[in-house]
Amino acid sequence: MSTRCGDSQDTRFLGGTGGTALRYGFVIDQDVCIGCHACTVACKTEHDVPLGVNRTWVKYIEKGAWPDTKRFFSVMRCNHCTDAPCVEICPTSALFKRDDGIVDFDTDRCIGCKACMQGCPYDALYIDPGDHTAQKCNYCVHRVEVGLEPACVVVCPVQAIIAGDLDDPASRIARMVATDQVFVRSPEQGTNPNLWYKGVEAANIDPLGASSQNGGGIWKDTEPGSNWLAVDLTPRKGDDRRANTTQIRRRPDSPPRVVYNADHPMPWGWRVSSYFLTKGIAAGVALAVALSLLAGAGMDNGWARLGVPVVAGVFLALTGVLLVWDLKRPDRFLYLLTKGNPDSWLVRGAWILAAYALLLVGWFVAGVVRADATTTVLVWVGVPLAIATAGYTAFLFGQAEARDLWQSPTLLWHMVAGAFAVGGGASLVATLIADVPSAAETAFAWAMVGGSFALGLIAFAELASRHPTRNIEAAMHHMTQGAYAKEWWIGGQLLGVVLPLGAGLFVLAGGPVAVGAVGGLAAMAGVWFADDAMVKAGQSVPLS
Amino acid sequence: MLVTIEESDHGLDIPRLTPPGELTNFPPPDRWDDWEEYDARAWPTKVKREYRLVPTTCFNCESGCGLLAYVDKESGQVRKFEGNPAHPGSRGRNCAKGPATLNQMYDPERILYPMRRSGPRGSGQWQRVSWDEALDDIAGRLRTAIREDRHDQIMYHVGRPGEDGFMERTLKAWGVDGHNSHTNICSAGARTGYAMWMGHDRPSADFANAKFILLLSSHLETGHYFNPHAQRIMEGKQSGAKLATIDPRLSNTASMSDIWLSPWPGTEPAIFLAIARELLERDAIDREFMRRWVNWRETLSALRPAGSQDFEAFIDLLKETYSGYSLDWAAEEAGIEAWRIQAVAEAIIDAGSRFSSHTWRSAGSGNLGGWQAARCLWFLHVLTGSVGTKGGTSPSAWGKFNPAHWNMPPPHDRWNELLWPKEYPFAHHELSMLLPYFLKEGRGKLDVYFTRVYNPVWTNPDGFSWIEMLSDEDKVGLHVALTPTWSESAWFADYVLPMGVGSERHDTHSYETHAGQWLGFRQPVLRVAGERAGHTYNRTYEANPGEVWEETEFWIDLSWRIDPEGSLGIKRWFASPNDPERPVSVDEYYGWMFDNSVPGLVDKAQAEGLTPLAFMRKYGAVEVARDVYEVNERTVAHDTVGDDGLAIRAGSAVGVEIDGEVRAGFASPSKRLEWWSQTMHDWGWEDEAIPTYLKTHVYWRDLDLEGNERVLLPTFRLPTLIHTRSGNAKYLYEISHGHPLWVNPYDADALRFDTGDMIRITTDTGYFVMRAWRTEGIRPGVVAASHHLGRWRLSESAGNERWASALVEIDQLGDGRWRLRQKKGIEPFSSDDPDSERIWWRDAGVHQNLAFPTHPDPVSGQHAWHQRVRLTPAEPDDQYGDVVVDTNKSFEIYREWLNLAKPGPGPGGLRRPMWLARPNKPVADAYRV
Repeated sequence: MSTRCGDSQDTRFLGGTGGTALRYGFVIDQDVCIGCHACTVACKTEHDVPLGVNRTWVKYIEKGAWPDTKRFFSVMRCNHCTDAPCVEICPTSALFKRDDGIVDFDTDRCIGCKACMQGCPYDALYIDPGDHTAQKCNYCVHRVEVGLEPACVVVCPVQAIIAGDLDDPASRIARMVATDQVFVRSPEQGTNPNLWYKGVEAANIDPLGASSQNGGGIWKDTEPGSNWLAVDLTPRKGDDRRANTTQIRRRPDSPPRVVYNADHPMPWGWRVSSYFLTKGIAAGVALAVALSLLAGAGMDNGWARLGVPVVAGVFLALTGVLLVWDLKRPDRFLYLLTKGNPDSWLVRGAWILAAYALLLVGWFVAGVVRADATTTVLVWVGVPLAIATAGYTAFLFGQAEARDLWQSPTLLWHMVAGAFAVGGGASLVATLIADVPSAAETAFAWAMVGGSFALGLIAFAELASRHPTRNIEAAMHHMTQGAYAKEWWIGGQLLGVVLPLGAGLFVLAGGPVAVGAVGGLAAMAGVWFADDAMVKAGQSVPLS
Repeated sequence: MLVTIEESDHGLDIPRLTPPGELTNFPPPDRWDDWEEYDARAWPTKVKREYRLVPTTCFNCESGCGLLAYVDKESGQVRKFEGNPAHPGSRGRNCAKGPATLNQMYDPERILYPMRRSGPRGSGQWQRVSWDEALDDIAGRLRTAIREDRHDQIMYHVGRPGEDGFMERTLKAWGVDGHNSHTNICSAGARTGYAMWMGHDRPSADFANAKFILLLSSHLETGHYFNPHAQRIMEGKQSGAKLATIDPRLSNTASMSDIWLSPWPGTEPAIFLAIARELLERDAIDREFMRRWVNWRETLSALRPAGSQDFEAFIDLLKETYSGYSLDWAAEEAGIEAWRIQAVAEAIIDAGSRFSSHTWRSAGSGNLGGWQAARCLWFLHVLTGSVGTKGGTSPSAWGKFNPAHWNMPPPHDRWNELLWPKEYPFAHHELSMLLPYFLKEGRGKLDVYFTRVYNPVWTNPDGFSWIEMLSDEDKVGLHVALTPTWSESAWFADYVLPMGVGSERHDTHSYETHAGQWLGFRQPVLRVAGERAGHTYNRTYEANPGEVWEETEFWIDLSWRIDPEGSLGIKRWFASPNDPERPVSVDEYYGWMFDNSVPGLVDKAQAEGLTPLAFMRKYGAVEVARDVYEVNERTVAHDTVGDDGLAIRAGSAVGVEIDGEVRAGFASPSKRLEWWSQTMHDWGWEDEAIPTYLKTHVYWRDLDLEGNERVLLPTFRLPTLIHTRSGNAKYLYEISHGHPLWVNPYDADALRFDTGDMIRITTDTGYFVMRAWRTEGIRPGVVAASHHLGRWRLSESAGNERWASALVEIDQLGDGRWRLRQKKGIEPFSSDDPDSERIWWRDAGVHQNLAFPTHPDPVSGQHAWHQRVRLTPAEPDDQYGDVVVDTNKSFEIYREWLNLAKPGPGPGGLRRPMWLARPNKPVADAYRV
């Protein structure tokens, strides 16, 4: 914000921060909060927030057994993080950090990619069902700009929400943070939140601190489409089946349970899982051709010259279609390029895909004019681009700070291995209709075998290793033993690893290529299932 | 603080109210007429919006919290409601229901025009009519009834009054004893308990200054007066007060408490009396206060005429009376640990005169004899001298300001037996819930029956009997429903007349929110904003949405049309003081009140160069007094003092002589605090004349707990809903709509229920089917379901809010048997509001009240809400939400409870002790049979 030269008295009261460094934040005093939901409704009327989504809400948990039961409240919302993952991952800078510390958003820039919802470890963002853009608490910045407190602060009957400048040591909020025992949510995420809780029950701000209940709870339904998996920490029913009459008997202390919370549907679904596969094929068929060159096959066959750029191009186009289709504002997909945030791997990914697409065009043109030497060069130039195409998503998922499962260092190798597996597999399918030298067939089989083997190895390593966070453990549990276990084991491991590996080895041992093609189909299906399980499991762990 | 910027290169920006980094809560009142703010939705584009800020009062619960409407100058619509910082009760803050007033104003389901039924009553056929037609038709009928001396066939039945005095004035002007309230399904129990001590029938706690707060209520989430009280309870807590809550269910309030007592329902008086005994035995009592203020002389002379008549003898009498009430006994009786009762006793002793408490419904409205809960609770204040003290608890009247009304008619001279039957001489107040049975018994009939913000079919027990009554045109000639929103009862009306929500009407009100007094002025914000912009309106409906009227003008115009020539003597009470040929205007009416009867208001207004009316229009409320304590000790002017110590002035008792000085005292017959009530004794209730413990109708030792019998608590409230008046607030319903039956895991295991299982809950008159929720938040042996949910409608698109109601069918199964069955739950619908397509909740809840027989307490007249129920798994044909009831059985049960009463007249041939409060009080002669 610019300041006016001259009379300094006046500039202090102009719009904006007047150039002063500020850090607005909240303290929520849960010692005082009575869980009345006034903040929720004041926020909704201030911002005209539609049904089904919330900028702020109240979570209730219960602890203990009668007659020592207690209910605890916590007010949940955007934490206005100093290092806000939503800002970093946002591909169009629709989310941005103001110099007064408020994380604000501009709906005019949002393309509705939902990446911010994967980046935020606090469930703070939602897609507005009216204009289909990402929104959240913005600290009522339109009020703050004129000197008014946020609506939730003003309405609170017990003044449990304290707003102010954390950098002003004389402010009430700064004094509370300095002298009271205060906590933040998920400090391990490294976001440096500017929302502090005083007197909060630990299980309220630990998303895995209390079992979640399906079927509502104290006084609400579960929102349809909210497919958080219940995290059940409750022991099964006790064995005491007599009614309590006169004497007080305590049931064994039951673990904390969530009895009221806002629901948050999974932002990403099958389109994202499918885009993994389509770009894996697009990258993998080219990588398989590179392997075939190493194995001594030339570029003088139709598949290598034209088939690959066409097939890769088609799957790359499909990738683009899926990406745009998944946007809540597909009309704005070009903002990725025209308003791109270079820090976001969504934007970097778009550049990579575009570069790879250009290369494929060149490949195709060179193939048409039979400039085999040029094509060969393009194949080798294409290798890093194809690997980037397959693998950049690992970095994008890495920016999804909310999803610990996706932070795995093996994800990049999983992606690349997957590309080899489906690339080899798709190429083997192609051999059924295209004329391909036998050296190339061998190379394709090796690609599938190597890729599948690596996928299996990575899966085994993940299964065998200890995971650094409970979030990952819960997600791994859902993926490999819970709701997605069938998909992961039968789809991902049997179809995606065992069958292609066996079929590939069979071909290498001299078996008919058709068996390899069947293995290739299995690899493609299997990679989709494995990735779909991973995409869902990563999002299945509650954040709030 | 406002710093204006004359000119800057930030000319497009709105000037800040504060320096950067500092924030304030409200625009200063001087800017309310011309306030600029950025549009929240357009941000970060800076789009300026210009508003007029108009204060008014929330009408969602009875607390009367201030609101500030942001009226957009361009659209003429209200953009949002915030709190009113000038309001002494709510101090600018609100609960969820305050800002949700916006939903109610712009609810696409709301009724915008007067409607008259066009088919049989209850058939759901309606036609729009003009207000003129409606007023003329209703007025004509009223005129005929009054001319034919059928005054008692006119009845005004109010749910949420929200205003003080205007309706009583109207009925007085008509000469009609027709005021009916909802008190008997609400607070009659607590009122009776308090009234028998001191005449005043409600408490006013000074929570903010207390050292110990004891709640037999859930004031941190609901109730009168939730937001003002919650603020002050938490203030007290932050200053070090301890908080204890008594509730079989873990309310949010109980959860915030230092001590939670979860007793068997109905045993609360036992707990209080055990504490009383502890205080007495340990001599932790304020002897001086008791000596001065308790009616111990009268008590001793009546109960111990032969014994010593000094104060110590009275203390001995108390000790003797309560000697059996040990802590261990009470713990056993209440089914809780003795240490919890002990902890409360210690906290009371520690707090001394800074002990505050509250009860309003709770045990008092749940149990036969529940009125003793308030009586026994107040006993603790009497013992500790925490009556009227700083940090203590005062009678309600000290915290409520009653202004004079313009041109007040004299009291009427009638006694309506349908409202004040001889069986219930102490009732607080009208036996409203017995109306269907009285009409069935042929005690009378109604010619014109107004229900106003009242939904007896849904809210009262035994709603099918109400449907039977309302459907019978021989019993109810004309039913006029005055309501801001559809209701189950309005469906059975002849006229449905849309009335304004809190931001669309005029009235005045005052509530005992703290140790002070204030007067609130509710006003129609669109009209006031329009007038500020230079528009003129004859009637508020011209500014309101559609043709939504306000009651003040409705009753003035209706009264005018009852007596157009003035021949009935009614017109004169409504004629303008400036032009007797036209009705009085709201400005004239309230202008007179503010000019003449509000202490300090004229000066405050003058200091700002305003008329008192303009001051009230600007601020919406005025503080009348603060730090009101120990009003009983005030000396009063008097003419004579009688032998009984009562000081008389102009023929009535105005005080009592204490230690040689005449003090104001209390509103009881003795002007003292009556541990023993002469009145109760004289009217045949000798055993209940003192604070005592009565056996409830749901006494736990009588239950088949080894089998499937349990106590049902059907009355608890949720922080975001308002009886049956929140269906028009989508944001509130989104937060709370689920309606599970709370079941402790012990019971759930014993009865083999798990969360989500359908249960049939059988009462004495029928059954209903709902789903279980296992929770440690309820006492074993007790189950509970919130009282808000279970709304229904009989037509797809009318009769109730689709945000909140199930579509149902009602079948008469013959011989008094009725069945309500849900055809579908809540579903999205299309409307002007895109949110109606986004409804995601499905549960409309279960209308449990239908299956409750009426249980009038023989003393207070309070409906005892708790039910003995049997819990069994739902049967194969049962569907969620089914309710099946036999109204013949409910009539039988009414008769059984009626037989518990001791009918008047009492001493002197009185229908009711004259000192007891009652609305629309008649002249003294009317009390005599």
